Amino acid sequence: MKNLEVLILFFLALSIDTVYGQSQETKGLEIAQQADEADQGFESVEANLKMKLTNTQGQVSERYMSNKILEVKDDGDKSMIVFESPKDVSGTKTLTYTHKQGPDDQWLYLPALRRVKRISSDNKSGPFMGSEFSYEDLSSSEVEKYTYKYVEETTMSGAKIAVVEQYPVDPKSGYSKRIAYYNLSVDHRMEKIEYYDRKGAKLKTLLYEDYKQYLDKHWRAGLLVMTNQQNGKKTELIFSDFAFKTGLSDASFTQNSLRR
Amino acid sequence: MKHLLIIVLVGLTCRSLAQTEAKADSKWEKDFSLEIQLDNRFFLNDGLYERQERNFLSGAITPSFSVESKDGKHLWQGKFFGRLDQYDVNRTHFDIRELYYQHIFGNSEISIGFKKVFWGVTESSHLVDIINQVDQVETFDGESKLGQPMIHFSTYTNWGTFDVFYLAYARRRQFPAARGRLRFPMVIEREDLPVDAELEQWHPSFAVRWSHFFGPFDVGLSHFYGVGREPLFLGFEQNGALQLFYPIIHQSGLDLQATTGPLLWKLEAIYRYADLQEFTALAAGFEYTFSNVWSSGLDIGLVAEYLFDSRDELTLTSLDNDVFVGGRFAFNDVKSTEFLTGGIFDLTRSTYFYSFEGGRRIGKSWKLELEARVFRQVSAEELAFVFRQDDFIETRIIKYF
Repeated sequence: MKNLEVLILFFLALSIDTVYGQSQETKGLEIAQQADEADQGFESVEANLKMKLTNTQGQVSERYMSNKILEVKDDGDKSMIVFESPKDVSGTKTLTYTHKQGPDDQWLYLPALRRVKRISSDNKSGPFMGSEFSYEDLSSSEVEKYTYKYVEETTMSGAKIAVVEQYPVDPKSGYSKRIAYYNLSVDHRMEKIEYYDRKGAKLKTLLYEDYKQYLDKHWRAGLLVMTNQQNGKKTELIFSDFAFKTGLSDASFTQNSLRR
Repeated sequence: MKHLLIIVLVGLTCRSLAQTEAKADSKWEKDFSLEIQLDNRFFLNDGLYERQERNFLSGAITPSFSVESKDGKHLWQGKFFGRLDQYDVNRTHFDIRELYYQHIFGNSEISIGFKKVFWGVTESSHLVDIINQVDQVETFDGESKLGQPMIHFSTYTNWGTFDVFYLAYARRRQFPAARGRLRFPMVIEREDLPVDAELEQWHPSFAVRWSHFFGPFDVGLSHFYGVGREPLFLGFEQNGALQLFYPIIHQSGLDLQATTGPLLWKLEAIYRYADLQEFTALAAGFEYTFSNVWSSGLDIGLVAEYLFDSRDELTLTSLDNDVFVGGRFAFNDVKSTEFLTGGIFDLTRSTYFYSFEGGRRIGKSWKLELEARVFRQVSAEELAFVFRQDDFIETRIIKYF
């Protein structure tokens, strides 16, 4: 009898945990989907970027680039990055077709040879241009690329914040998890992400600052600050000249357009 | 008449450029850049032939511009190149690398003027790549090319990209002068090599290409008809001179790459037909990248390629049955340090060939580059035998404006 009670209690506890666990995961996914939906319909966006790298001695180096993104219905976005500075890499471009499932398609254009090279999109964890951003930090953040677990609701500077853990689906990701801070008061926009390395130790923190709303709908941060807690280095991404719905089409994201 | 065509082409380009400048306002995006390099090539051994020097100091300048309309429909690009070499008078040269107008409409574009076009996927040889003549005195690996006057139409469809080229004029390659290195025993001047029979270098060439990608596959099929860019080598004259001329050729090419995770599979194959010679050639291999090794940011790419050419010892590049094995190291650091090193090993003969190419940024706008080429146990059966004393180390410092 006693044993049965224990058994019932055990199963009860297990089922509660499962239900509770599922709801945690569903809730986390729902928040990510709501954030994604809140930004849908931007069609295309162009912006200029300045990347400011600061090492532990306080030495600063800068890179300039421009970025174009085309929203693709039912699949990941298409994007093109054009490097402008440092001058020795000026004119180098990358073209990426992000996919919700499976590896992204990526091409690299080398202006000196006028050569377009298909490259592996496997290298996700490596540093982008010597910065604290990795390739995966800068690629289009599709909902399907993570599984989710809702943690709690909290507040940051008076705003209601949902804290959600995100687990990368791709085993080649450099992270074991990310902790994302969604602003529930303002269209689920992202306020902060904490990155944990493969060993589970905290690696980096990304802060989204200087938000502005475009076309009464789309929130874009003017400044992203990535701080690496393990090596003490910092990279700032400063955006300018955001332009939405600029008439970009599939034809603007081809190998021919890389060569222009 | 034919000279007139080129003059008209250049004239049209310049005139449309001038018009652009005239009404230049916020509708145009303009960009000008300048690259100046100082270069020292040091040969480890004395030359095989009289008068050859050992150390060559040289300088080069590369001004370029681009003007693009904000609506993205009109584009003018220009890139000029000039080098001054201490001893090799043929390496002292000037070239219009690019000078063209491009009109972009919908999914199509048409370009008129001097352009540079690259086709292909492999690293150790570029078989399929045929539109431009190589600038042989500039670099040893064939990656520097002379500007090619052309009319080029390209359209992007759901069935792939289609390119059509009309190449108005065939440019001949330059060879090192008497005091230069990496040359044949007899000094060859550009004009010495004739173009096939009654046809001359004004003989127009045509090329078409279809390229597409399906999931992990990128594929290209091409055909070229006209004056071959590579001289046809028939053997040696009684006096030891090479029998070389530019033939009229048909060349069909295939390039294919499969991108499967960190592993890239690459294939290039050509069939070339001329009245006096027909052959097939192939380059096939893979590249495997270990990315972000030990979370240090370092990417190490291992490249292995097999090179075949049915011309055997008549292969101008001597790459007739060889294997290339190499490593690409990219540190992904603030200074963008990277280098590529490897060796080409002949499978039927004794010849080895090693190379190193590396570079690193200095400050904001300088770059230091190092290049080395070493020949070992060069077989007397191969054309490369004449280069057996020509191991060199080249140091370049480049300033970007």
